[in-house]
Amino acid sequence: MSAWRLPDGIDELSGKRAQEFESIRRKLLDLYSDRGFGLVIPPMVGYVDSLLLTSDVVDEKTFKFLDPASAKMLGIHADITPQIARIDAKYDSDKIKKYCYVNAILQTKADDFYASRSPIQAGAELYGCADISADVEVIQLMLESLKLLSIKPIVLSLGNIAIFNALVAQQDLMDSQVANLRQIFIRRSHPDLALFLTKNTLDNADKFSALMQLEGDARVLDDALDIFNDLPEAKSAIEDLAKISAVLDTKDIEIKIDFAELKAYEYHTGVVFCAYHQNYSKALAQGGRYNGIGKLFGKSRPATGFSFDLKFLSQK
Amino acid sequence: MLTIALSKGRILKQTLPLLKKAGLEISDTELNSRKLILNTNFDTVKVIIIRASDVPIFVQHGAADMGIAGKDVLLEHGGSGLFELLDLGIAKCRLMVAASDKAKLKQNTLKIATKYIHSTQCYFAAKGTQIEVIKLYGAMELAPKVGLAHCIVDLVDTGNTLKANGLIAFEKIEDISSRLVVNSSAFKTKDTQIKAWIENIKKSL
Repeated sequence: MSAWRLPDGIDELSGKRAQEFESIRRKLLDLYSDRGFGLVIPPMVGYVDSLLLTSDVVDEKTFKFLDPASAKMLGIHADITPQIARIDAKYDSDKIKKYCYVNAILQTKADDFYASRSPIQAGAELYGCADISADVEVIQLMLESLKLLSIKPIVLSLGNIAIFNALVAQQDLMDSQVANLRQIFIRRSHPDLALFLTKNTLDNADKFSALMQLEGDARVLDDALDIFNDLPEAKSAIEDLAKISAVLDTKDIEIKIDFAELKAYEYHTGVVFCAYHQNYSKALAQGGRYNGIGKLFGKSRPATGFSFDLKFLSQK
Repeated sequence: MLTIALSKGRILKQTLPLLKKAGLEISDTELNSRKLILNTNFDTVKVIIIRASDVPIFVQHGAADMGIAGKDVLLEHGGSGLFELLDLGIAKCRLMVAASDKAKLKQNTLKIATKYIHSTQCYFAAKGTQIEVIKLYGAMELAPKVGLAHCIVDLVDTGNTLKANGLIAFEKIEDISSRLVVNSSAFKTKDTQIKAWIENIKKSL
């Protein structure tokens, strides 16, 4: 083996590319600072429990090793959000806190969102505000970040996981069945959903089928209100999306509503969003609400945020 | 522009009439040419014809916006970055476990010859059976005969090939048929064009 080789999925930046990356990183951090988001630089390593929270997906993606000093398992961060939740929990205040970061992360395998195993995750998170204004603020900041990277026009996909979660909560499903359903929705597999609903008797089966079909322009919101009129959680979830769509500046933005949009990380609880551009084969940036993410650290409060792979986007 | 990736071979023979019924035609001249990207009767739609196992990879990375591939290759690929929107109901078969004798399936470590590594591992992990997978690219039925494996996992259509080689299909892992897959980003950014074709294809099923 040549000594200069890097492992699969690990890459580096040098020369002009490194300079371009650094230039954009500075501009982004200036933007976030102007908007009141404070920089945090979480450690590369942490105790495994604090890095994973309850996400099996993050668990699978995290490199782990035994710490000889503490005899505990440590991990290398594969996602910054759990670390921000830990940092937020340390502050003895209920005030709104805003964080931003640009950090190299390491993943055991690439996925839909991060094409390499060594992305540089940039993002911003807002804690302590349950109001829809917080979601609007982070979505706008995400769109401004992409504008700064000269990526436009953007297709912004908006969804709300609360409806899927409410439908799941209506049924007495095992964890493995819920995980299976989540995967079916993430793959948007209409045939597999039909098969799942044939094999498992759910009295709200038609609602799951409708949920997967519900995507398109703003008219979908009215359809959703009709279909889920007996689901108490749905009304506010749908109205939240309507409010967000109404206040976003739509210059260079096309808004799509997509109720089947689930995130790979299980900690999301409400509004979720993704940004797409026709020259890219995957989502460029994504985020959503993850209320109560800090519960493990003793501080459960509303939270929302977004992230993207700055290394990938700065090279395009 | 919309690019559609089609699987070569058996699936293609059943796909072309389906697409024709949906309004998309590829002339014989194009099909018989050595070109890798084929024109269709629509200026805005191109077709590429590739190995079935490559279809999900082309679609995942955006080299094609849509594709038609068997559920067997989608299970092996994992479906990352793809939306699996339609079951086309063509090229139907079953992914099966086959051996010369049912007793051969009772081993401490079951040696299985297959090219469907992921599906095989998932199926036997769920059953709690310890296995050793031997990856082969073809002539799977030979493996038990020459003592390379206790059984095989392979696609079974009529079962004639198994029978000719003294094998019996004992367990079904999955029903297989061809699926229409779409790149998740193209589904959002080229939605008008893609949805129109999906509707046309749906009607032709």
